[in-house]
Amino acid sequence: MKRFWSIFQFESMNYIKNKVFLGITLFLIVVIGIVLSFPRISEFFASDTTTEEKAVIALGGVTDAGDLAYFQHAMPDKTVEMVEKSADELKQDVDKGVYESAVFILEDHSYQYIVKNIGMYDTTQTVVNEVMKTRYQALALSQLGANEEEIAAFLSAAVSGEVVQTHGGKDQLNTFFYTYILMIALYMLILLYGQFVAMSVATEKSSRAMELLITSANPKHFMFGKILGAGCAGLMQFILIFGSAYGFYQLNAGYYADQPMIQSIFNMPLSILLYALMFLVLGFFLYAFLYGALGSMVSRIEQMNTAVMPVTFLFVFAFMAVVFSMSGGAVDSTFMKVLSYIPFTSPMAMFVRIAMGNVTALGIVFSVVFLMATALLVGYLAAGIYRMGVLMYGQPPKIKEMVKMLKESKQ
Amino acid sequence: MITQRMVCERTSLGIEFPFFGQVIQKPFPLILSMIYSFYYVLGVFADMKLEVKDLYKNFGDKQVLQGVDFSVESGTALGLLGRNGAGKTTAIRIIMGVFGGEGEVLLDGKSINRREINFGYLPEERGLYPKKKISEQLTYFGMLRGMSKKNAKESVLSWLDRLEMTQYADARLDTLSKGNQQKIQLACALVTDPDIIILDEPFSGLDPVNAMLLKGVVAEVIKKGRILLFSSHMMNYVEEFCEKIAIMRDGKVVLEGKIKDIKRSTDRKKLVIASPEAPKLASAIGERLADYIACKEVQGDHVAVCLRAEGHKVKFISAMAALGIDFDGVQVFEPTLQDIFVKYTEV
Repeated sequence: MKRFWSIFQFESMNYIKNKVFLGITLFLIVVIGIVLSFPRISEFFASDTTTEEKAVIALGGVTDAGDLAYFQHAMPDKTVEMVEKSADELKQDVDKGVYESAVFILEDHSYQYIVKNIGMYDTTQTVVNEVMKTRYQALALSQLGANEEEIAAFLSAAVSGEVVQTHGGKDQLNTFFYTYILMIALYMLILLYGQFVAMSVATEKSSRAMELLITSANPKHFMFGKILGAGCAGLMQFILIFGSAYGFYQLNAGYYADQPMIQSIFNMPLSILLYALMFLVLGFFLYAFLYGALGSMVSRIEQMNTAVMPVTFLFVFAFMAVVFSMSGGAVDSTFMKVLSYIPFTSPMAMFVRIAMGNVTALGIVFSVVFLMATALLVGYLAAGIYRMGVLMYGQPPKIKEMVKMLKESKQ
Repeated sequence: MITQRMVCERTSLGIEFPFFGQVIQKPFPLILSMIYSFYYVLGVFADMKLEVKDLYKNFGDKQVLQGVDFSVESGTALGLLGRNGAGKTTAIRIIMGVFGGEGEVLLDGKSINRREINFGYLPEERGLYPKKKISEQLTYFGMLRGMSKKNAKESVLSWLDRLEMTQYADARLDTLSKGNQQKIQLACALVTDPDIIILDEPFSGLDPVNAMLLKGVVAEVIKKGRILLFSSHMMNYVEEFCEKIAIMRDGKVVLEGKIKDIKRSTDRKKLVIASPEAPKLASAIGERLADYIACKEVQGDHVAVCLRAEGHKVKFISAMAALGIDFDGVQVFEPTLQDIFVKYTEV
């Protein structure tokens, strides 16, 4: 146990003392800090400067006196100007930049929206469309003999509605963002640290340090120490990054009062975070055992990428399948149900179903127990492969040879 | 069997104790001193014997070891010889418990307990962590073999000092020359002051000064009563350190014994006579002493002759002296270790 502890300490310190590891962690914390403090920072710089000039929208064509008020009311962040110009003249002005855009009313129910650049989030045209629609409805109502008050009451009639969710149901829109973020973290950490394990084994093998290591302590201790060391470093990074993000959010919470998306992320249920951690740990062990065993098969670092590719593909496939199901809102589809019970995909699929879909407690228990059992079995087999693999040089063995090796390792 | 070193560990003081001329490093209570002295005396006179009996090992269909036997006592070195692929490394790995095999590895007649016995290994394929600080990785290896961090650090510093490498303690391994890396590798093998030391080609790639330094270290560990398994193709070093050799071929030991005995056991009918007048002496022997000899040959200042029978040796030398031709000496021809190696390993 003392030796295992020495190995674990040495391996985890390899990460913690590594400048790249420290640099990336620190960089991410700083970036998260800046992003989450951005409203505060921009407010600090904006406090003394004059407000930005509003963009000007020209309104021309068949208009009447009430139109300016309509449009100005609908677009408070723009200045609407009534102009006596033809559509061609307005086109030229917009092209020259005199106006940001122009609305040229052709008839009561048709218009031209003249614009040079349409931004990705430009909603002006939608707003113009709405105004034109309301304007046309008002006109039609007045033609039917309704007075102004009646028209106003009719057009501004509100409907009140309330969503009543049954117990245990999920609001996918609310849960989507934090589930997505946790999924990405799960994916990145398992893939990255799993590959680190393979890399570390392959490095020891190619530098021939393995020859001495294997004769100094039990090979199983090396594999488990290495995996646990990498896992702890990964978990520490996860906690540091997410912890600092939460800290920065709390510091700037006042600025996010009206941003439900950000709020939904930082107010995620604790149970979801704990589920994410559990699946992270179990998924990491399962994949790290595979990566460790494969890393022990190669003789040179260059061979490593090819050797671990099947496992990486499997994991990337699991990620893609789950992300597509998430985006399509089909988290409880038959496909996802199957994925959530297959140990190699369940860390992500079951997690997403817990967070965004409906799954019974028994389903969760079954999936987790199955995942644990598979991780243990894979760990047992990987230790056998590792024990034989680390001393083999030359071409990586084929599956048939690996099975043979496993049998021999038990002798 | 309790050796001097094992007692050190049991009293958990983990230091080289002073006695019989050794230097005092730390004072310790009288009672401990007495207990230690008692065990020390036992340790000095108690030899360990490592025996390998009937080792068999297959890798798939390939029979790598087919009944390997040899033994080595503490305070001596065994030269484990053989061509590449003869099975030396496999035998070494089985001894160290890297993998199992059929047969027995015994220490003093009992199955070896690898938890109690410390191995020091210098593998033929050198390798440590190239990007790590030297003192850091040597300490790690010490700890892996059961030392406390403090003891490991102390031992590392003392070995670096002994090998004149102190200035590199904080350097990365890959910044060192090949010879210096080799010295670090040796330090790694010896850092725990192991009971059984296995050195595979320890002298390859060393300059004469470093080779001399390492020779001193190897001689020291033998003198300290450790068991040394020495594998090398450099026969001069094998002859220098090893009293015994075991030559392996195709997974079997084809020859085992003391070098001296092996050499003496060869045919002793060939004599080598050193003479300033070698050609003249050779022709005189050919003409007048033909009854004694079966062959003769001039090799520079030497005449080599094969006697018809070993019993003719004294008579032949007297008769040769009577020839009146000057000669400096007569020696029975003994094969070199190289000759013996080639003879037993050649296909």
